[in-house]
Amino acid sequence: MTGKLIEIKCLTVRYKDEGNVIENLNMHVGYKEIIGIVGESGSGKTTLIRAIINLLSSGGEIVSGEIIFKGEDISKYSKERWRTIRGNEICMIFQNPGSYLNPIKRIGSQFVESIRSHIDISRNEAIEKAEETLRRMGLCDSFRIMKSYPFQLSGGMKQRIAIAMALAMEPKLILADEPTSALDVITQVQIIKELMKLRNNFNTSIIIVTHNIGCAAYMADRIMVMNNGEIIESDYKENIIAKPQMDYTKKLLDSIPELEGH
Amino acid sequence: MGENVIFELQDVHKYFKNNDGSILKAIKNVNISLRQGECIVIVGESGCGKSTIARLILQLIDITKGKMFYKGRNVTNLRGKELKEYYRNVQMIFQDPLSTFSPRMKIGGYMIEPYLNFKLMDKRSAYKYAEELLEMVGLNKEFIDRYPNELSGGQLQRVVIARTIGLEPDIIICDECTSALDVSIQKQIINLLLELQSKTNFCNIFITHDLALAERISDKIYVMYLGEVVEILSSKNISRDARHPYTKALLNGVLSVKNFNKDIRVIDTPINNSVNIQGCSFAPRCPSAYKNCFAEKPVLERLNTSCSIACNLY
Repeated sequence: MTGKLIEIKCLTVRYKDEGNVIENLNMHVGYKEIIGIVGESGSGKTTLIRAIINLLSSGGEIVSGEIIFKGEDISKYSKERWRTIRGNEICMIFQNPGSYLNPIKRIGSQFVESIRSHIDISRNEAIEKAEETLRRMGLCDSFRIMKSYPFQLSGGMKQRIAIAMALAMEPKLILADEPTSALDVITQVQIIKELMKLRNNFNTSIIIVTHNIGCAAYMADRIMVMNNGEIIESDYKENIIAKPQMDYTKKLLDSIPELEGH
Repeated sequence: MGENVIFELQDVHKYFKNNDGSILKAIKNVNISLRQGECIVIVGESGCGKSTIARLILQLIDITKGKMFYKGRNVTNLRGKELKEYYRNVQMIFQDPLSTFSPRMKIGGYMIEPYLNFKLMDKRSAYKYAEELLEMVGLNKEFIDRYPNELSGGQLQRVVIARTIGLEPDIIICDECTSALDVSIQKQIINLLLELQSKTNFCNIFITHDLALAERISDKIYVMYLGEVVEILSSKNISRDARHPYTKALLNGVLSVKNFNKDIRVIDTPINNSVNIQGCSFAPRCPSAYKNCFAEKPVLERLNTSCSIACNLY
């Protein structure tokens, strides 16, 4: 795990009415590394990864700072330039897979559209690629899934499809925004396992944003704790959990219900 | 009926009709009893019927087969006046606080609605009572003139709890009432509920999929799988006392910061909801199922003081 895949220097993000949401933030992600970002709602964690992929919601803008990906500052890229990276090299998985998929289109046609907008291949080749990716995600019934509408599938399946769509391009970096918090325990564990497999099989780096520090502890190599738009603590997960330095981190660790005999 | 039992479900079934005319058995043969001041937790993954039970108890939908008793009186499928009286004693707190509010109604209007509706007091004293309740749940009484979108999720959930408590119901059903909230807010809400419960002695039916949370607050845990209760635990250490393979699988899914290097086993087989399952409904996904499990249906039996279980292994 040497070298840096992406490096963020002195990033400041501002929303029109609210002032600076993120101020002077520095971080980096190594190759094949999983980073967990934890914090409460409003701490700016979603804004951070939206800034990385240049999808800030309206009114938000990067005021200053650099986001260096493969030696280039991607925060200065034009819209056209972004189209070549977004979905190709950097992908995002959203919290609610139901709102990510188009409800009136079959999975197959959405998937093919997303593949063909990135690589120049024929329809049939794209279908083949889509089915293969679905199978790799453990959805063996890929033919039926390609023919289904989103409402015919369960939440866990939709999230896997969203991950498969992100994965089809074999991106270098996956940004996951609370990918499991809309799912129940058993599916949550399945998705976490799939994401960890990605890293081992495809050498992908992952930034996972979550408010469940337990989930971050299980997946990530390093954990960053965010509060009020700043990273207040960042270390290897063993250190954060055993010896939290900040009171806020202690409070977060303290608020997860734990099993008695675990 | 045992002592102090204020609410009971007896052999309750609920069937739904699918679009193609086939019948979906959402709840099968469920027995639940609730004593004064008790907190029971229903756990299970999505689709296991836990919310259906909540809606049955609340009489939002009718019971297909079976009986329901409240304070010794049969309250199955009530209508009209009796139902209204029943609602005064049984209240529900929903998962997403924002969607329980009308966006154009001020908090005050929302708070006083039930007291006017049940003709408990006039408008002026209802407002006064609402202010007291807000302070009881740790909110500023000036919130009464705010609109729901001005409050955070945790604050809204407090308002919902305040209104519910104000009616002094016997039973409060919380359907995943903390899972839309941040972890730290979740802790505050749970503590508030526990504190209010010890003060006013209402019964709590708590629905969740988080076993760690269940263990913390419950007197009794009902584990449900595909509409059936598969295990009942009354223990403060469920990872030691749980026996059923399904409960163990759920426990396995609890991500702990104390033990983040453990190997999580995953149940990969999807949930099987077909109508004609012969044996144990968990058998197709069960890691320790043997031949008998696919043929014979296990019944709920008492194993020891802290555990009842429906499994052929025991």
